[in-house]
Amino acid sequence: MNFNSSVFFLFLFIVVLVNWLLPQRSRFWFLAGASLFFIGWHNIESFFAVILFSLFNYFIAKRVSGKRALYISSVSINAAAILLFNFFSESIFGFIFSVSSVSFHVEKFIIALGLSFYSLQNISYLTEVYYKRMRPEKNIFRFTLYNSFFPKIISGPVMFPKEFLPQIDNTVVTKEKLVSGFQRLLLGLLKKMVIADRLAPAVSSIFDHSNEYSGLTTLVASYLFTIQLYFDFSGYTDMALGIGRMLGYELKENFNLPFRSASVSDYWRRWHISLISWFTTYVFYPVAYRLRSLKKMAAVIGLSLTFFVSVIWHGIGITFFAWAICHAIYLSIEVFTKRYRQDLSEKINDKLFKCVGVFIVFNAVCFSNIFFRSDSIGRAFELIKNEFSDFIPGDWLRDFIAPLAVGGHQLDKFNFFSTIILLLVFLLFERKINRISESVSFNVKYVVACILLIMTFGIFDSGTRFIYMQF
Amino acid sequence: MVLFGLEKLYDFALRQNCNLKAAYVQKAKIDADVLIHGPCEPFWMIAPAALDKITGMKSYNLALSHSDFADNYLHLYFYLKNNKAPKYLFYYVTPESMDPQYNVFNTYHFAAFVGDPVVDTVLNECDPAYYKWVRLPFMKYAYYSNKINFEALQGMKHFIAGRKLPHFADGYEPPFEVKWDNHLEEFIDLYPHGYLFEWNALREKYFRKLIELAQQKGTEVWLFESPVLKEALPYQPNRKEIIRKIRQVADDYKINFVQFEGMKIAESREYYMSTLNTNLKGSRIFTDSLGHFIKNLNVNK
Repeated sequence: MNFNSSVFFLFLFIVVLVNWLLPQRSRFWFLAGASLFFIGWHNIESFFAVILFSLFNYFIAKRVSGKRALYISSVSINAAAILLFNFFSESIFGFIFSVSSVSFHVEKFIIALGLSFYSLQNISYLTEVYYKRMRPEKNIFRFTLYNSFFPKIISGPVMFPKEFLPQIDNTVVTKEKLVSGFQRLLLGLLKKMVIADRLAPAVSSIFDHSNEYSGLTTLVASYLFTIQLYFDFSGYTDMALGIGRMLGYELKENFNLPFRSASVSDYWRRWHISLISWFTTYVFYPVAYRLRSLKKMAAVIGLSLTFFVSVIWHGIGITFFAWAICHAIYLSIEVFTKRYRQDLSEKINDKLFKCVGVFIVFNAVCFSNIFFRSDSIGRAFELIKNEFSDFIPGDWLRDFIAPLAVGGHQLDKFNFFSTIILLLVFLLFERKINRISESVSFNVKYVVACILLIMTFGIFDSGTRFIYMQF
Repeated sequence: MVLFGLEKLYDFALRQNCNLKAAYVQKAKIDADVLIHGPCEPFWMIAPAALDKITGMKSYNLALSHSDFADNYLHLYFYLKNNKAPKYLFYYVTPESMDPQYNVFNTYHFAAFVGDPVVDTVLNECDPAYYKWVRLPFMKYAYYSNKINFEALQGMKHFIAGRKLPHFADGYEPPFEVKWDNHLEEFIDLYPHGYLFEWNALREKYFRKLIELAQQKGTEVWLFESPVLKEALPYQPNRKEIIRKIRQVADDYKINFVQFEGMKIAESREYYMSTLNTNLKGSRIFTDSLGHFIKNLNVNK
């Protein structure tokens, strides 16, 4: 049940309606049930996985406070779950089930829905309880809801227990929240269906057949993948936040205009905010604090370790390692050049300094995303090599737009330019659009415009899944 | 309300698009004696103008690239609604036509004609995921908007300009300027031990329906296959078996299936851009052969 599928909208309508009609004290029972139904619809293995991990962490948390050995072992089990399901699952589970007589859907088991996300939440929950910063949750259903809440199960946002659990007893569903949630949901659909999914065929085609395209085409494709990833993931997040709000919950923002970042550290404060704040809280700060005597090197080591953990979380592919190394290098350079950059910013015009920064950061991020998107490290290097050879071919535009859609060249051009125009208009007015979508009053013009754009330019037939669902 | 209005606008615009064959053949009086039909091979291969010079008859190319039997069936249905039945229908069929891996049903060709009972039946069977949405306002266009917006805009342009003829007036589109598209090499990489063609029941159903539709109108149906590049044949171990099954279908309707096997062009890549698609040079030679075949057929009658 993808967020952009028809069956999901039927499910959502029923859940929002029933949740609104129910008295406040009964809502969490209903939402926990609805969330488990949503997960079970995806596959039964995910359903059992979320129940198993909820039970495990719920009972461990009751005893973990101040017990170091129990804390370390239980955190290790949650971390091992991420490792096993993201990396070892295919080889280990595949091997076990191939030599045993057990019949099991290994592939489905591997993609246990949202496991990487709720395992992080469980680690933070155990940590908070262990350090006595919060009391263990008494009600197993409330805790299960924290893990399984369907708007965030697929790809987050990652919520700290203190951010989510107190909301359970205080959900208020008002007309304003329903309107604002609906408008945010529409924004997410617009981002996903009108921009991300329209860019997807071109990006896939060029990344999968990089040797067939010129340098400029592959360069543009690497830009477009970063934009596609942003619109896909932030579109999902908008939908998750909108749905959460319609159910009375405020989920954490994940993005804050990341393409306007003038430094890579600024970029990481604006991109996948919930995940980064988890890594910062539970990896970077503890490491940097312990190594504080090393001064700048403490930050570099902390950053490197944070990105190493991030790689493990994303799936331990060599391409993710390369992606993480890029960012660790960028951030380390920023640490060592901080004073020099400050001096420079005082000497030149502020706007110019920011523009140059934005340009450099965007290019650096796009470069690293070549590794993030590529199937193999060989393919990534092939793409990079290609970017620097045959850079300006005679007919690059035709070369580039050809894979955007099947059909005559006029159709390709129309689709390409209409997507680019929509994208530019959106990026230009992004702040304003975000503000309108957050409005608690029903904005007829905004809603009609969103629906018309989705209906006339949205991609309905591809059924493209959200990119971050794989993690 | 807005979506309903937009749907009506698209309905109108798409029907004005002369380049949309499904719309054009329902508006224009073509009244061809010889109708060429099928997927991309005849579409890019058989030039009616060249054919007419040889046969002395009027021909029209109804074929479309990437189209399967159901797609071709609906185009023939539209053609016959508005035009006299042709004397001959030359329908291209090959083992690839029976296999769902090759060609598709292009639903978006027919979005503007939802509501016609024949169209609805075919859409429901060939693209049920699409068909379940078409009753909602504008969804019949929204679903494949990436393919339809441009055609609707072009339709409005044709309406405003008062255009009556499509870009390719006789339905034939000359092949791309591609020397060799490397599909055979990719095919061999994928299937080094050869590929077994599938015989799909839905494809067979619409293959039969198409023949029946033409025969009901009194048209003489001829199935044909243009020469296949010989070097590809070793990688298609069941090609002959599928050909035999196609012949059985032809026999069921007492029609002929002509294979132009002996032609020399099949021996060299010089005449091809892929295993089945001839380039401009090969297309001219094949059109000439087909033209003489039709001429002899007509003279003998």
